[in-house]
Amino acid sequence: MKEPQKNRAKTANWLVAPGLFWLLFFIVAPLVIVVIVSFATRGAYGKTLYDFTWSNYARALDALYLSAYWRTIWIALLTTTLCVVVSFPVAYYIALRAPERWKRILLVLTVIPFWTSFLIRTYAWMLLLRSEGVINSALLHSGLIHEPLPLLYNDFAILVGQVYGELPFMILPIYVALERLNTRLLEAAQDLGANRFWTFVKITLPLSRPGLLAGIVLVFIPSLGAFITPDLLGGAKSIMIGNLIQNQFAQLNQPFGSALSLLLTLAVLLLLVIAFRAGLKASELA
Amino acid sequence: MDEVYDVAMQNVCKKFGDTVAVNNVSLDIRVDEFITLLGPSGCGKTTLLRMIAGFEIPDSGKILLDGVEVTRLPPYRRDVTTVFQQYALFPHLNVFQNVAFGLERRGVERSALNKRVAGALEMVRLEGLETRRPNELSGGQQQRVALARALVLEPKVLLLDEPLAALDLKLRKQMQYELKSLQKRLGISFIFVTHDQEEALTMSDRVVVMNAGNLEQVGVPQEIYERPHSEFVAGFIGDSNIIEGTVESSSADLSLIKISHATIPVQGNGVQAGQPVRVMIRPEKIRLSSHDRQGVLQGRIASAMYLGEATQWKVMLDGGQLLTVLEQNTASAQAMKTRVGQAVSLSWEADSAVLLRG
Repeated sequence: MKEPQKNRAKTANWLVAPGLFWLLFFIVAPLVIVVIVSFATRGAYGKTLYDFTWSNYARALDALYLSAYWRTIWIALLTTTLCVVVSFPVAYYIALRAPERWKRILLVLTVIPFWTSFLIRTYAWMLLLRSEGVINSALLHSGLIHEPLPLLYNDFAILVGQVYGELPFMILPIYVALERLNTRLLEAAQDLGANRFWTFVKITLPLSRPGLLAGIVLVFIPSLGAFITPDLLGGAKSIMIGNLIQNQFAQLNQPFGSALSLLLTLAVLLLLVIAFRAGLKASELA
Repeated sequence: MDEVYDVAMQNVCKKFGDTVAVNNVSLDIRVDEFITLLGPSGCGKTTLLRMIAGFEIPDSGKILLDGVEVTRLPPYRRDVTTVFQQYALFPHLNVFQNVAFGLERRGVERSALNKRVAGALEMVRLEGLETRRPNELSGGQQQRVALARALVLEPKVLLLDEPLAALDLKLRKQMQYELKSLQKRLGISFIFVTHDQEEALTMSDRVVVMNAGNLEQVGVPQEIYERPHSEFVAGFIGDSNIIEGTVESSSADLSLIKISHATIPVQGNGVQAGQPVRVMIRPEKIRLSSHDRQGVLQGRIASAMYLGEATQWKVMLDGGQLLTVLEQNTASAQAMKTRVGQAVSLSWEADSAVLLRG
């Protein structure tokens, strides 16, 4: 009786093999390389010399780079906060208020931006935001302003681009959590004397927390590593960690780039631990 | 209107799209009454309950609670609470927090709140489970939490939307008894929605039978069962035989109905000689005898079904109609088989048969 089941379990083990292979060779192996390289130094003509040193890490903690860390964290926080503020009402509407036949349409509209490359969509934002762009032209034409507004090449532009790009990753998990919400619970709360506000605070919000946490993780972590948006939409002063790392690799300073990457990875790991402590389950990220 | 009712509904109508869910319903529910809304699914009973709770607003008509109109008031401003079909316990709160939810919203001070929650949990015998989450409780325990959560607010009226449907038979019987005694002890009205006719008959002071948005009949259980007004009520509650006949004569409260060759006395009036009518008789009210008697219905036993405490006979009348007859198994069951095929006379007390209107 037990034998066939055992065999089936053995066969099932092979099903994870391709994924395991992928993880080992394309995530674990590069990571190991990056760890090794981060302790190396850059020799003449960009050659990497494998002499063990902490100097890259020491340099990474320099005040010059620390300010880039803070900027990155600050912009990632702002991006995440704005995403929550914008996404929650949208997800709430789709999950609980929209007529049934509209739900699917609205969800498709939410993910439609993914059909175009993020790079191209970022270029589109440049067309919208620049001094002679669509928005400034329209405002100038209508006579509301006389000088073009500085919409591009600053932190504002980075935020616009980031929030725009990350929005679906916030809307979808919150939507899933609200969609699972039993609306009888909302009726029960009202039945027991809670008005709409308290029903939201005491029932809707706590029960959508898993989706909210998943969305925060899914938005905050990529925002920390963002480099396309700050590169294209940000100004000369708006450098983020992502750009810094990219620059190091482009300038063939791989050891320092590796050290910066690992520090960022450690920061992300730390944040994930905090999020899991706050009650996020791994299955909710899927 | 002199008497103030707990709940008074006046010409309440509710449509969903083109479907009429509740059609011009007027109903008064007395103080400390256990009233059951009974009907098949889609008959409007749940919609009626939801309008009393405030989850639906009637298209027209009025709802009064304790003499005050509440037709358009939101649920959180009505002095009624609900026990939901699947209990709708808050999954992120423990038993104590679930029961305390309503009291907190009403700003009840902490020590009084603790005392009232403890009292409510004691009432439903759930002491010691305060810190459990709903998903750590059995169905019966969840049911009790839902009850405690609704009753701790001391509502004027408790609404129960098929609260026992999810429980197994044994637990359901026990909860029926507990609900009934709880209602008597608290002295508040319970409005109970069910599609289970037996549940309605055993628990209620009055039963409201609904069909397709209309009130079919309102009465005490005995009335509903013994003197149904319509074929629908007769058919929905218990087994019934419907026999077609013609009125031969009708006096003060007794009519003589001609059915094939027999003339049967039936209680009821308001009919005229020559009029075709339908007569309802419950299977257990019919007596079978093997003596050939004049003036009563004659038939032949077509089949028998042994039900343990009783036997259900199918009797083919001489006119060709099949009647169901239920007989207690007072004698030994041995003779049962041999009776199939025998000729029998059928009779009953005049007040057992009902003239159906409509």
